Amino acid sequence: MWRAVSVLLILLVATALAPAAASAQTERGLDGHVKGDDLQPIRGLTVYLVHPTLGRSPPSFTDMDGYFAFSEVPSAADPYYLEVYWGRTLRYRVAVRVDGFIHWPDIVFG
Amino acid sequence: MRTNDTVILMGAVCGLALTLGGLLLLLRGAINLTRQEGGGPGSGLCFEFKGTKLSTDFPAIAIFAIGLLFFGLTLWAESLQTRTIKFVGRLADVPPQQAIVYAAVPLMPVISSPDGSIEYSLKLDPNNDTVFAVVVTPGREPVMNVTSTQLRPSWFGASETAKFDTPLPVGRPVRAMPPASTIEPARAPLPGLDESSGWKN
Repeated sequence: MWRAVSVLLILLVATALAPAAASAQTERGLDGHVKGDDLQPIRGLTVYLVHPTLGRSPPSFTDMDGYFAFSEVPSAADPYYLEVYWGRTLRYRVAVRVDGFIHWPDIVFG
Repeated sequence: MRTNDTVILMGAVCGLALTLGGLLLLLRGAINLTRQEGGGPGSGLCFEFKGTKLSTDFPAIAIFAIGLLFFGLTLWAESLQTRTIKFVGRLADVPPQQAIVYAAVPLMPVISSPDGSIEYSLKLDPNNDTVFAVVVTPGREPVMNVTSTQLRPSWFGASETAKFDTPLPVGRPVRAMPPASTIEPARAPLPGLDESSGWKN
């Protein structure tokens, strides 16, 4: 009797923890910094992750440290494109494969 | 009152008038729910569509049916209605390609707990009449400027207007736009900057 109850409890706990463990393993995101040629951070740049079929992410604006971040990026077989805009003017674009949480190397303009 | 609201209200009034009017006529005896003389079963009112046949011996029911249809349609239209707002303004002294302008309807303060955590219920008012313009200009201080205006009521059939009478403010320049860095060509067409952002599932 107690054995059956304990097996049931273990199964319940495992079921409850499984989604959290799975999401921790598959968390996809990206962050980074943008700097000028003087290596000072640039504020107010608009950064997007763009995918040909999944669309364009909500914008991320660089803060006073030039920092931007994206979280909960959907899984995709094809690479994303990381785009940085000065207002509406494209200044930077590279293909990025977002398989986990990626700390992108500093983007330096100039 | 907006155009859609007017049309929906008219539909609801017509529906109610037909339904209540039908009841009133029935009470006064002007119409009755009896089979027409000389008519066989189902001869009062007959409706056939793609093999489905509906018939009744009591045509007065049609008044209620049409009234209810009007009323149901207005409820459906109310649930579907969207607002079109014309945004009119002008950027202050900044090249348009170096600024990005967002409209926010509404801009809502979200209250955070003393420990910085946020859990807040947003209540969206469909009759909100304030529109915000958020101008983001890199290389200027302040980087972000927020201005608001009241919606101007529309004439019948026209969209409402959010008109910003003074130029939308931008900060003072502190840094020039840098030359472009790496720009890799995209291997497939990418969604445009003017498309609404958000992942498509």
